[in-house]
Formats: sequence, C-alpha cells, structure tokens
Amino acid sequence: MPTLDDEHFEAYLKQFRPCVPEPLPAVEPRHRARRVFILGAWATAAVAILVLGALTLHIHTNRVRVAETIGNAGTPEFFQDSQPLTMRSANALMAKAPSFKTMVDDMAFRSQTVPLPKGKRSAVGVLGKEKIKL
Amino acid sequence: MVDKKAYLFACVRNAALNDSKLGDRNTPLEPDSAWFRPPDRDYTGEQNLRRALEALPNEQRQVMVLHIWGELTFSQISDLLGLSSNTVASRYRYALAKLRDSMFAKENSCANS
Repeated sequence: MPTLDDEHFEAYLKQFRPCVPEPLPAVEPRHRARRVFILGAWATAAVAILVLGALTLHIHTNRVRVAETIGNAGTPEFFQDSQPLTMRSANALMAKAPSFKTMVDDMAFRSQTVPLPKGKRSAVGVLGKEKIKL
Repeated sequence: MVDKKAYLFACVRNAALNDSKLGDRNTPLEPDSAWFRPPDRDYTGEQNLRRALEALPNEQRQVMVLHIWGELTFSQISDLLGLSSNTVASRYRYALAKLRDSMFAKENSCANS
C-alpha cells in the first residue's frame, strides 16, 4: 500500500468510526454502602435528639404538674378533711409550712381532729391519759 | 464565550480522568475488542490502527483522537488541554507521522512475508 500524504491519511483514518463505548460502571456497592451508613448515622442522631427532647419535655411537664399538685395540696384546708396522713401530704405540708415547728403543730392539730371510727381509740389519747412511772 | 463542543469534551475528559483515578474501578480492555468499525470490513486495518494508537504516547494520542474522531480544531483542543495551539499542532504532526509509519510499516511487512 503506498504511503499517503497527510490529507489522504487523515481521510483514511476518518473512515474508521469509533465503536460506541459501554456505559460507565454504576456507583460501586462499597460507596453506596458508605453513603447509606452516613445517612443512617444522621438519621439515628436525629431520632436520638428527638427522643431526648421529648423525654426532657415530658420530665419537665411532670415536675411542673407535681409542683402544682403539691401547691394545691399544701393549703391548710387540705388537712381539715378526714384524709389520712400520707407521705405526700406530709411533704406538701413541709414544703408549704413556714417552719418545721409549724408543720409539726399542724400535724398534731390535725391528728386530734380526725374522727376515729366507733369502738377505736386514739393511741395518742390513750398514751396521754396513761400515767407512766419512770 | 465558551465553545460548547470543547466544553463537552472537557466534561467527558474530566469524568474519565476522575474515573481512572479510582484505580479499583478500572477494568482492563479486552485485548482483541475492536475500537473502530472499519470501512469495507478492513479488520486488519482496524487492528493495525488500534495497535498504532496504543503505541502512541498519551498526550499525542489525546490530540490525535480529539482532532480526527472528535473533529475539534487545534484551537479548541488547546483550550481543552490548556496548551498552546503550536504545541497541539506539533503533537498532532508527530502523532500522525508515527501512526502512518507504524500502520504502513506493519502492512508492508505483512504483505512482504
């Protein structure tokens, strides 16, 4: 075959048409897995923040509610009814009373006002009447 | 004003370079897979052309492919590769000469044997 000059050689080369290349490979599973892991981590962090926020809000709301209940229960009228003395009412009284002495006085006064069922006697009353020899 | 064709080639070239940087994604070409559809079923010519192109240095092969089959002008190629037009033209001349020598030397040696 005779050697072609530049122009003819170029024309000869252009007769060869490039084959259509195969598409580039898709994103590798390793990269996809890494992306999924990062997204998952972000999602987990977001959920954790939401849960923590909800818990904090719940605890705060409960504290406010308890404080309100104690505030409502701590009035002197509360002790004038015939409800038995409980830790809650004692705590409420302690929280509301101006001093420890006042609180004890209130409790003592209340214990005397609580009506006893028929046939029962107050232990404090019995002990108060009994003469103890020391 | 940006030349659209040169811009497209730059995009494809950058994508190919980025792809080749990720070594684990490289897949070697089949040694006998054709790069061209030859005229008149000239499969020997296609094989000679492919081997001659493979033998060229990368920078000369780039210019050759962009000019002959990409149909870009030297000016467009110089923009694309960030080279002067003279450098591009020089690389092209060297590449064309090497390609011709390589292809016709091979054909002549085949014909003589």
